[in-house]
Amino acid sequence: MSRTTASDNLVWNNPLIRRYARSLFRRSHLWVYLTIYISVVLLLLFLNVVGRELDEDSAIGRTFFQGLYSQFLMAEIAILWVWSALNSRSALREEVANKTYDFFRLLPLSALQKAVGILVGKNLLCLLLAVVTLAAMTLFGLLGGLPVSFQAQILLLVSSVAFCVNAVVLLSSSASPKRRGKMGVGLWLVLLVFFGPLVFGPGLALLRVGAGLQEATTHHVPFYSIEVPVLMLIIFLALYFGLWSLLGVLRKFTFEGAPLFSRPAAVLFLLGYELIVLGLFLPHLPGGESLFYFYWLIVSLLPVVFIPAGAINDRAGYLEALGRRPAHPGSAGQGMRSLLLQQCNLSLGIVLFAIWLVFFVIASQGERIATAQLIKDAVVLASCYVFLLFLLELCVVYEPIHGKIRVLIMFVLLLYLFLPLILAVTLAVPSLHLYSPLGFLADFVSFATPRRADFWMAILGVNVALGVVPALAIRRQYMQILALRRTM
Amino acid sequence: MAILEAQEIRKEFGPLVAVNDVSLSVDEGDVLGLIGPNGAGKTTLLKMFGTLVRPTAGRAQLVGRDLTKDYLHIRKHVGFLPDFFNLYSDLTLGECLRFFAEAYGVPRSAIAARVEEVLSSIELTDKRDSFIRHLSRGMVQRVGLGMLLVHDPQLFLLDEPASGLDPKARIQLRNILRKLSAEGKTVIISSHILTELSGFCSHVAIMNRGRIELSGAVDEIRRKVTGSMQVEISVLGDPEQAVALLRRFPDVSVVGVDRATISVEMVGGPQELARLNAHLVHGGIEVVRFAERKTDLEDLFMKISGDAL
Repeated sequence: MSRTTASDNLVWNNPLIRRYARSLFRRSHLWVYLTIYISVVLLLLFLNVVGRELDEDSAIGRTFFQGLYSQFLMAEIAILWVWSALNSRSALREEVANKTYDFFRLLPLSALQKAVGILVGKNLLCLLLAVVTLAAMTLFGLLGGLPVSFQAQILLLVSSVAFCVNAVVLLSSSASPKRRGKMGVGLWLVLLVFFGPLVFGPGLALLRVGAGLQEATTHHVPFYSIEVPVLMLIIFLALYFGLWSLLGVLRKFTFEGAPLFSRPAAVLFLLGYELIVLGLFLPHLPGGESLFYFYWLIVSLLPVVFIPAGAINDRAGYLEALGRRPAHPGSAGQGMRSLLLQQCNLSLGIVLFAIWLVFFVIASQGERIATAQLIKDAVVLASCYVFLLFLLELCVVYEPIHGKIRVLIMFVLLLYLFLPLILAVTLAVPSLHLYSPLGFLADFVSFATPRRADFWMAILGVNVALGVVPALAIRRQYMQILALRRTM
Repeated sequence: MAILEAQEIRKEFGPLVAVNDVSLSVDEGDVLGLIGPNGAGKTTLLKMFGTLVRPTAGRAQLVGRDLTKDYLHIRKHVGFLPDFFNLYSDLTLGECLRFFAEAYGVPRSAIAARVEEVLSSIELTDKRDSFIRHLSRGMVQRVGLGMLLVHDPQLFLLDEPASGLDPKARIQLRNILRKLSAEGKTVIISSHILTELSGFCSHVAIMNRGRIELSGAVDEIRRKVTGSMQVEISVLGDPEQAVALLRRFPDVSVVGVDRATISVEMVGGPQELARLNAHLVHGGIEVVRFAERKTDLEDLFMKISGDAL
């Protein structure tokens, strides 16, 4: 009797992969793609050979093959980063458009089998062409005298980023499979958050040294106190974010309609993210304020702002969570209130901000910022953050009642972020810019007078005043949710 | 033996209670018609049993497993056909059935034979190599059923399977459903078109506003609702003599006489029916036809609607 292993079920015996293979490898489709691919390859070879012959130095040597290696690498990147991402993104949307999505959801396959089924199955043709391209790359690399270790690093880099990109786009489409059309703003934000460290950390380091492709494999960047090969660091980061995205996909396939992050996952993701970001930036944080400190602030704060939106518990979720609680006569009202406070988005946001504060203190140690200043900054940033959380929560509790509340809240958010900046310029009162969180953060690098430290009480006062009405409105809706739950 | 046992199962969508503490038991071999007006909660209830929607509260066991914990096992042994669906347009009918057979764990060696068997049972053998996108709506609906048949589930959940079909396709679909019923399959079928369910449902559950107002065997429900049996008697000769005899029989009232056919309402069960027949025969009446008139599900539903809605 044959034994079936987990990998068999994931890849070789995965019915989804077989289903896609039947459709993709139909002779009537396959020859079209193969013709295009072979034509492109032949055209590339032809142009390279003709170009070389027109050149005075007509010898076909190492440089020629290295050139071919680079061109095939570009083709590999186009196949694995762009084409496959488009395929992965379209998988669920096609199911919805074809009205087969319910059958997909009902398949008795594990979430991992479904995710692998899409990522591999939908991209079978891409993978086939990528393997052929890789074989050509390897051949040209060897003929061009490129070391095997370099080629291995490039291969790992291309495949890990391909995994990350595909997982992220699948996550995006599983989060909203019923939405069609262009990539939403949400996805761009997710990409920004996920790839932020890639861009700001080793990416910047690479740009700074002006490293070429081959130099990149030998270039090292500091991560905390150790020196890490830069490509390895990028591969690690791509795998980290790719795995988190895959976990998100599995969650979406298991608990449809649930928020992207569970509460523990939101905390864990933030912890990992902050550890990575701090590791990348800490070696660059000298004494005194610096541009890097400002970059760190922005990069580290982004997920604190966006994760609550990804872990959002909506009004229906509150009602459901309160309904699951067993009734205890007498203390029911008190118990429900405390459960609502535990489940609400405000409490998660506060926990995330508290975690960020720890990293803020550590990063600020490198900057040798005075404790009093640190406390003032923390208090003001906390007040801004709580106000933003209030806006998010207003959206959550009022949207089922007032369908267009989101538009109003977006307007208030824009006013909150930009009005102080506009007023500062229009009224020629520079200190007004500090009343916007953006202006306040910009002050970390602006070195302009007036400084944020002199205005912290006033900014805090404004944020508290702004927060009163939303807080009362949220409280009113919480009471209504509790009352509604008792009558259901 | 119960194949489905739900206790106070509930689904809320925000403040809307779509399914309100429904308790239901379905035995193996039952064909349960879930009837009720649009918005009664039938689809949500079926989606919960089909593991597409997670209940807010309550417990349910399907094929002996917990609905929320063992949903993968349940999916393997339950066939759910949603109300609006399509099938993979890039696959042929044979490939599509093959895919579902593989996904539902039919042994590889048995798949080809199983696919052929199903194609023949849904009368689409000649369309094996046609792309799904080239099939008519009625055919796709039959393929949908075939897709469930291919893995031979223990329980069929069919949500409005005949909606959008033309009369011919409806008859074909009804024939397949009758076949399922005759084979002793357990089926829960929802519909608001009650004639669709007449004839092959052994049980009915009438849903309204998220609740099951009434459920049980069709005959049992009929008696509960009407409180009496409707009997039609045809006699040779003058019906007045038979009417006089009938009026002397306890708990019988004559509701109408149409030429030689007398409509009677009576309280009781099969024994009372037999006694009434004997009473007429002994009274010298030549009885040509003596039959209980089965109340149509539509009449039942309207009667219940009148009482409960």
